[in-house]
Amino acid sequence: MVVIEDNPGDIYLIRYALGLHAIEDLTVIRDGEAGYEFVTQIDRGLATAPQVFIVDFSLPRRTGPELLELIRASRACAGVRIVIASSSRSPKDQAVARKFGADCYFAKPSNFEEYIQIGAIAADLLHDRP
Amino acid sequence: MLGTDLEQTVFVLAPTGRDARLIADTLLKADVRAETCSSSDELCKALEAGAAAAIVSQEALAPDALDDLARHLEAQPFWSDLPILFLTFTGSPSAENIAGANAAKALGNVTLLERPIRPETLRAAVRAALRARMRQYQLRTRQESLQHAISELEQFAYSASHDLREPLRNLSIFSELLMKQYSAALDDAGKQYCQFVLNGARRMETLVDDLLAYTRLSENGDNGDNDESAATDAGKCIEMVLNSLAPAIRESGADIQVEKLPVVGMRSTHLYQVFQNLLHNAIKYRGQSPPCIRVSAVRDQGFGWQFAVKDNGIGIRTEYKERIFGLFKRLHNTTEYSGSGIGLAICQRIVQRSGGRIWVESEPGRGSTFFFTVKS
Repeated sequence: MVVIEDNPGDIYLIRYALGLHAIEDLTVIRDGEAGYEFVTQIDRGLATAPQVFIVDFSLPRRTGPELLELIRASRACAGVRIVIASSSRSPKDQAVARKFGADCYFAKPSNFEEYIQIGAIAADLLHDRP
Repeated sequence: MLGTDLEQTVFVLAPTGRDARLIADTLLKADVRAETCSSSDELCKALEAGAAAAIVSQEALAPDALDDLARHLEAQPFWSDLPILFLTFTGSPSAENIAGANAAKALGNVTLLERPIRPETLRAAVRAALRARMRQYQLRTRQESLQHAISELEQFAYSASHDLREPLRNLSIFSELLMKQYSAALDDAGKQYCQFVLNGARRMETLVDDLLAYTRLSENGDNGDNDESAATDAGKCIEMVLNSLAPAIRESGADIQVEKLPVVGMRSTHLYQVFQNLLHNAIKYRGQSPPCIRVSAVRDQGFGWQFAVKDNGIGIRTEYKERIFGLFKRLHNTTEYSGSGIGLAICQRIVQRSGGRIWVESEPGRGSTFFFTVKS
């Protein structure tokens, strides 16, 4: 599991939520450019593709949709599942995420119980449950 | 020639090349840029590329050519009203009048000039036409910079709303966690402070959400869903609104009566937002007794329909009747009545954008009636 997210609060919550589903093997990348390089390295065989990416929509330097496009264009990442997590509830952003091939759009809620649902979503994608 | 040069150029259409050349030369002597056209087709093409004015002599324009030219002029952008100098034919007086009158009717901004015309008269008429045209160009420039400013502002509000939400979410969630997981470590004051932080963040989130909804109304005039038709059954629409408000209706014991409502020319999402805000307000700003709300529609002369949402709530003082539709305008503090002060601004924007108007009639303590008009 790879999380590309810049906000420390969100990273904490995502880590917590995944922990509830016994997902401890987690790589965290803290900005868009580093995420871009990571995917490029996977393509060159220098890094292993994860099963699931959780990508923030608005990252510094490279946006979530840019990363989505790159991951979907990468052969080494074929079949990888992607969750786009976003602060926005805009239908436009959801449409953009779908267009670039996200498996799921998670509108980050401002309530703890709802937020940690992202753990269940990621776990389902990881274990290939519908 | 450059586009801007074309925009300073007078195009001349005369039946024989010699006439057109003579007119053009007369203008060139007065430092007016002039070009000749050999056919009405050529003139139409020239007008598409940009032109300051056109001089057309009557005998150069066959009836179908007149129609062609008229179609071209009708397609002008709103700031443009191309001046046409129409040189009438020196034949029989009645034929002259009919041709001139037809041209004036079909081509809009037409000055009739009778031949033989003295060079000075022609030059003066052309100079006047050019002055008017320059004003039109100024209007275009203003319009463009205004449009630019508006779209920048909307873009700004939109991204600000996105970026504002992220830190707010952290405030909400972590103050919530503090209260939940550390309640044993906090005394009453500490818990209260956490609650203040949480309330503040939640309230700010509502503001941001509403602001987003408001700015979204301006993006291409839609709400993100383009496939909706503009004909909406207001009766069905209000049913959906009543469903969404069911908890508030139950809780307040509101009695809501809806008369038979028509089909109107407004997107259903927009009409929904208007009804939702008005009904929500009618329930929220209630007096001592349970809300009694009546929704009705009557034919509005010449426009379509006039809707009324009447309540028995606390009412609005006359001096606030206009102000309540402004952005972030609130009459109460947030402990009395919650809200962001955007609801009515959204209603007003929706109604005005579809060409209608919205207003309120009210007496303090005796309830309010909100009216708005919608096309059929």
